[in-house]
Amino acid sequence: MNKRVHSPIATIAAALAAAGSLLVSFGAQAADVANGRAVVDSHNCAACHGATMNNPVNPEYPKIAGQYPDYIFAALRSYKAGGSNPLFGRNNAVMAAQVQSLSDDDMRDVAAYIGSLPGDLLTKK
Amino acid sequence: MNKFVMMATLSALVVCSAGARADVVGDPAAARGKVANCIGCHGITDYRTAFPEVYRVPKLGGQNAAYIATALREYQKRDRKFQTMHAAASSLTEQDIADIAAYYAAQTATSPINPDK
Repeated sequence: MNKRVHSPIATIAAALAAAGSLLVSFGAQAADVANGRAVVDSHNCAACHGATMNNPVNPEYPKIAGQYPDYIFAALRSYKAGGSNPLFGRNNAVMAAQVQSLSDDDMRDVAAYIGSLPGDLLTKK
Repeated sequence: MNKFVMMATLSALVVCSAGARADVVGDPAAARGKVANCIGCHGITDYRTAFPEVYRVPKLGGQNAAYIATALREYQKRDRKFQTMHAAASSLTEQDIADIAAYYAAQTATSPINPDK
């Protein structure tokens, strides 16, 4: 087997892979789960979603533990955008107030933390 | 105002404004024939929506029924602006919403697959 490490093809492949990961990273930076947990605590998410994020205090509120992080991020952004955004905004007074001070990175971190928690949510036909 | 007091007040308002449909009772079995449109996205693990942004559509199995019902009504009224779900929810009656919400809330890891899927 050819064991040369620096073949032109390998170099090009590596460059393409690096470029690909750079592109991907715009949408999916490594999230800081510890910061996500800190934000969840400081914003008292448990007051409505429950201590485990899987036991909301009222059934009107969603279980969120174990939900897909990319969906949670999209939902948080839509609450921050509010009802004036015609494509993905959401009108919700409580959630709008909760997320107003959060940066996109904060929301990604929150989503990663909550998505990592065990819960009831599942996908089934 | 104290932030926690404000949150509690807002929460109370939301709960009060959403409690008007207690007379409609959801039937998971009745929803079996009503969820074909839902399953196309929410029945597929890791299925992604494509517009206006790309992300996985939420897991609904095991979710609270009242929350699912509220979300569907919000899509109907465009309090949640998302075209695909607005289209999916627009034709639903209150009974449809209650049935579909009960259907997803009842799902567990061991519950059987919908025989009508």
